[in-house]
Amino acid sequence: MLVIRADLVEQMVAHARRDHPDEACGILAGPDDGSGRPERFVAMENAERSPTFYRFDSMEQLRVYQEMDRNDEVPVVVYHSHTATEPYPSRTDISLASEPFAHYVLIGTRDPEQHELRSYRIVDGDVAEEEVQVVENYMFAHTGSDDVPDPAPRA
Amino acid sequence: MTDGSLHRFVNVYVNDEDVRFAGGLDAQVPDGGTVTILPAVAGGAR
Repeated sequence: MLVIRADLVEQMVAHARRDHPDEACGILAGPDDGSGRPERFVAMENAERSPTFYRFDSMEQLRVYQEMDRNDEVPVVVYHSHTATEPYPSRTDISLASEPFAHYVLIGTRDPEQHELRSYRIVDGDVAEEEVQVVENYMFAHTGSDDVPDPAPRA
Repeated sequence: MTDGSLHRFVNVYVNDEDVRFAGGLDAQVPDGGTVTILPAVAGGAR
């Protein structure tokens, strides 16, 4: 399950809308502590500037990944948009997925009014969709396995 | 990769420069230089 703050969802969707009909892409960085919490929004340039393909600009990716290293962060979420098709990982997405610990978030912008947002794990060519829980903050959100039930998240 | 060329979806950097712009895998690594390898992050609807 992906638990994600509403403001991060809004930023990803705004980026996807801004770059539509080209695909938008980026990451959400989070602490490298196994919590799986996305904390920091980083929009990346789609070096392909294409409606059907994306690729992080290699120099921007190096800078961002070095910054994450310095901050003890990992790419908790890797997101991109599908601008004319269902937000489900394509064969290209699956064959190029190289972050088995990341949540792959796809944002569909084919409907101008209503975006779609779905999340997947992609490991060794296998795709598993997962539930997305959008929260105002992480304080009351379920953040992983523990022995004490968490209080119900706020709607 | 089997032909010894740089895989399209792997980024190799020498001293923070993408080797694609510095002679590919023939790029020279100076003494004390750093080599960074990152998987390219790419995909798309098609």
